[in-house]
Amino acid sequence: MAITIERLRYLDLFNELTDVELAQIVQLGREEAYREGDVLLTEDAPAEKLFIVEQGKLSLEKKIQLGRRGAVRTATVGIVGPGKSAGWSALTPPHLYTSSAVCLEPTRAIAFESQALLRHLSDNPPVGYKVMTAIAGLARARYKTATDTLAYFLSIVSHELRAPLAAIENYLNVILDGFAGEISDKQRRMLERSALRVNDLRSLIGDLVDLARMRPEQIQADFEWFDPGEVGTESIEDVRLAAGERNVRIKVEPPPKFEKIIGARRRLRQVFTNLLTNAVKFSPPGGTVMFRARYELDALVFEVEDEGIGILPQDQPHIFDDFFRAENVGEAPGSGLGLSIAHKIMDAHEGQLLVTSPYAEGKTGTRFTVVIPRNLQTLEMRRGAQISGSEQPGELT
Amino acid sequence: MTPRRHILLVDDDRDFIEATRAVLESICDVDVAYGGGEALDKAHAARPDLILLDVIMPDEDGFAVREKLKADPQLAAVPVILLTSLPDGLSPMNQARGMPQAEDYLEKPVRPAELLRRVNKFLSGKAQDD
Repeated sequence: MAITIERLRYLDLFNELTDVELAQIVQLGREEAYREGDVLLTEDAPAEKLFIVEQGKLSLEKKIQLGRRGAVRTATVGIVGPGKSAGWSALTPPHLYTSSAVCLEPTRAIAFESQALLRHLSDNPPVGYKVMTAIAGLARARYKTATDTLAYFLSIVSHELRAPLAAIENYLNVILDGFAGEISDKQRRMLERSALRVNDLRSLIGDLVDLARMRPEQIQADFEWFDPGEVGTESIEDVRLAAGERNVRIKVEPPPKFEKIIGARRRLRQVFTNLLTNAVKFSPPGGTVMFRARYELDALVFEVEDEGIGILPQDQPHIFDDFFRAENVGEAPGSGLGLSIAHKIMDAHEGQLLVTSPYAEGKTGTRFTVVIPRNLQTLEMRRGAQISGSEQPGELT
Repeated sequence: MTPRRHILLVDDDRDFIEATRAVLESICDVDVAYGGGEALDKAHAARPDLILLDVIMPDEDGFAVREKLKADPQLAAVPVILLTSLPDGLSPMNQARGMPQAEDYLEKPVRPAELLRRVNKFLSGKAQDD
């Protein structure tokens, strides 16, 4: 069947083109038919064709790997139906498909060779501009749908998973505290282990939900004045129980006086608590964790040092990656998300989270350094600066 | 002898109710409701000394139920502790919804000792002094 301009007119990439422009594009397209299960695009393969579906459906799929050693799985990230296009990466460097596309049913599509289409778009800038604008709009819409779906999904997951876990923990707490009759020592040990495992699972869910909330603008929206000394004290309280159980001592070296700074208070507490929790977790029984703070000219610097197992040199470049678990952590609980979340929080503060391991000659152990700039602004201050900046060009930094 | 105090426990999760009830019954009488509408009916009928109210419920959420309780002259003085499994507590959500701060809130899972401490604070009338 011949490809006519009528068939192209309502397709998402071309609906801004005039009839004359469509008539030129028509000659570049070729009708192709595929069976259910056929693969039109392969992720990471050279992007040689762009497809516009006329009939049938494609499933867009991406490879997903949790951590460096996790199994590679495939996730469906979108469905492309009639009138919609797939394979835009054919038009933009590095010309590699960013996802795979598999036919969910018999599919008819108009296919464009990427080289020929690119040549036509660059030879005809007005057409190129319209098509590229359409692609930008589609990408923006797809991104917004994806982030909205993720936020919705996470809010549901967060509640739907937390509620039953909370119910289980409630029962365990009630039994362990003796409100449901006496239990034997053996039963107590098993229930205590159950409570710990449920608690780990709840932390993991919290980390997963947090990971999706770590966009810098979300963190910066919470910037406020606060006393960093108070936050440090709260973080020590957060880990006091765990430190006591492992007989680990937390030694504190504060500056002579804490001055208020600007930052996301709750998120910085999360950073300190995460670093202290790790330090306690990997310290030998009876060890000492050092928690110190000092002011430098343009930053407030916190350090957390432990006498633990240290981080292997080959693992150090990866410790802030999502889901990364170091070689030598063994069976220690953890999702591999805590440090990655902490790093994202410090990025949003335009600060730094640094690791040194070992940090002293002849010692094991790790030092994490948190650098918080002292020139951050709250949302209100930034708005104020923008208003005054618009009156005095060049004043903004 | 002081009469036993009376609490209304509201949650759509029957397991949460059963576990929490076991703790509360060590210090007071407990009536339960599994949804917002039932909670309002039972609050009118029994006039509890304190209401423990879950935030997320299918028929009517805890914020809406609390608003109705506070709008009712006969029940406005009954303190309400909100219960939530939300990770960030209630303050941001309260502010976003323009709700006045709850008298108190408890995050789930609830530890028995903490639950009894908070409940006793209200039942002994010390909350007003805090």
